[in-house]
Amino acid sequence: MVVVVVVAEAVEVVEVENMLRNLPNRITFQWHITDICNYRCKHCYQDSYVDNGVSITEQIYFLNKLEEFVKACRNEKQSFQAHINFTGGEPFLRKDFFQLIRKAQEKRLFTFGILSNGYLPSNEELKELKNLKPKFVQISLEGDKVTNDNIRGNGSFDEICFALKTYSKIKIPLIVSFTANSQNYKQLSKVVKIARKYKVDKVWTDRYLPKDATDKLILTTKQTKELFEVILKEKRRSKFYPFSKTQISSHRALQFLVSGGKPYKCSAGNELLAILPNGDIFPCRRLPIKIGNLKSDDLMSIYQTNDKLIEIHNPKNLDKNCLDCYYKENCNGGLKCLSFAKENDYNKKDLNCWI
Amino acid sequence: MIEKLISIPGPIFLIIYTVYSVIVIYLIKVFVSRDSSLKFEIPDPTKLTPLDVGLLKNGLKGAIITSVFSLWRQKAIDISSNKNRVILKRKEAEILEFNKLESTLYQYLSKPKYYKMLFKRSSLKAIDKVLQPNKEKLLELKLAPDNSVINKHWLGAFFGFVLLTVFGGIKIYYGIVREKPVIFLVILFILSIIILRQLIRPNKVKTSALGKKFISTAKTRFEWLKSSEKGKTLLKSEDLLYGIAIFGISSFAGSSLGSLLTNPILIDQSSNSLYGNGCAGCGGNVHGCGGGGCSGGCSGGGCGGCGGCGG
Repeated sequence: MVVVVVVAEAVEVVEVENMLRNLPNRITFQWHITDICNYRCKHCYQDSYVDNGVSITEQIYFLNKLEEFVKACRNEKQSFQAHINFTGGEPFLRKDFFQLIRKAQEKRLFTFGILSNGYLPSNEELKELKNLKPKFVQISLEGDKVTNDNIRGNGSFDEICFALKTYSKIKIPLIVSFTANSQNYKQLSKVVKIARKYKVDKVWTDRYLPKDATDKLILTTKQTKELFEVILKEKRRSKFYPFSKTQISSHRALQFLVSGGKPYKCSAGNELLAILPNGDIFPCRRLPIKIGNLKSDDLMSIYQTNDKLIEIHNPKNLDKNCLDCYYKENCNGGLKCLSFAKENDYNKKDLNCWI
Repeated sequence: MIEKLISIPGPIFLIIYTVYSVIVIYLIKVFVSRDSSLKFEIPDPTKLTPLDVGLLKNGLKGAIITSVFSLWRQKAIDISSNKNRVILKRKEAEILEFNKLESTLYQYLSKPKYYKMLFKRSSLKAIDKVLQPNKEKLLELKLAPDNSVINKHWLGAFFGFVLLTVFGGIKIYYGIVREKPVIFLVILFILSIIILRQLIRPNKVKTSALGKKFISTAKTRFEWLKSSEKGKTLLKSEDLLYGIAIFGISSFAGSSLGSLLTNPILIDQSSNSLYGNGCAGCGGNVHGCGGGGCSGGCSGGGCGGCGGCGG
């Protein structure tokens, strides 16, 4: 019996060591500080919009836990870098949001970005935000006025454009994100055009995740390919805009197959962890599998030993349909959250993969 | 009708003929570029080996460069130069990872040899034989031109020639008969024929329309290699072999791999000079040399004889 326990502990130690050896160069925490939002977007993954999240005191406690984690990682790997994407809901709707950002900046351990829907803070807060030097503010845009407002609500298009104009004016780096579904995927070019107009730094897109098996907004494989072709077209078109700094990113699952760029592997649970308003930790917000809670659990031990986190990236768990693929190591099955949403199994081959 | 044609003043006819030629050549180009292969799906670039991709992109030359580079990468051969001549020297290595052409080349290099020896008639013939299954695979996938594609090119070239000749020829003939100056029209006519020939090249069709799309897809897919900063890691990856097959070794001279590829780049430079003097079509398509493409300028100067591609 004792021997078994000793062996089991030894195995655990080996696993922990392996994890530390495989520590990535950087990690991004996507921190949803609140569920409260002024929009009700059709494709939102939130079930509720009423939870304001934990108090600022508890948020700072969470921040300290992230700090501990990053410091421990830096002990193992000096070059290790950490980034926090503050989001919601709509993060600017929390009155104490700036207090949290200031606290994060004081740590001098994290860079940060903000994922917003375009809701603008006051002018004074914008000035402060500029001084806090975010890496970027990301705003979602889903197409032209009609399409965008259909998805995000009436008047949202104008608000988003105004927000883009405002951030651009005060020179805060901007990213536009586009969630491609079967109704709007052809509008990526229009989004890129708007992004160029407002001097956005980068546009990226990823596929919509279905709410259930009957969800008609999900892209078919043919539509996925078409979307990737539009990305490629826009990347090529960028060459004709020598004075535009807007980059078109193709660094998401499967996009490299058509749009070019380095092969992409889902980073959920490895280079990315999502933290919910109540402290729950997910590998990714789009992969809603609770692996712990910042209030009660030690982040490092979750990161090193959680079965799910290890399982997600274990090549042995790869779908048999991927085993003969040239990209099996560099792609690892494609968009894991899509497989999870559709098949309830993140190890399944990306349902939009055609190779 | 002919009377109307004859009555058009010379300078105006020159403009009309220029526009006419451009339209004819464009339409012929569109006609030949939409061949039957487009009915088929473009295979994923990784469904082909780097050797296949090299063969499709640059014929035997592409296959040789890809294979020699692969041997060098596996530390099976050394590449050096002496008085501007590239020398390949075999090293001891296990041949488990070699493909058929690499094995053949490895055997062939039992003694150090000049790189250009690979382009001798007999060598090319042997290489061509080894690559027969690869060529058949490319044909099967409709990436290489089959007879219908080649015939379509000949048909396009023929119609183009007829259309250009009939319209211009009538005017030239009556111009000569009526002792009008026709020199500019003759020059324009010859120029049009040359441009048509250069654009259609029915005797040097290397790829089908699907093959061209495949190469374009592969270029997009592996473009990132050129800007990758992971030089040493990249050297070990299969991706790089695809990159070499598609872009050639010299394309990586300015990348993070540049300093590691100093010697292999000599192969590319040497290949260019070997194929530089009108021999480019040699070893081009999967049917081999395709006869006429190599008959002219390359028999002498260092090409090593193009007839050897067999076909």
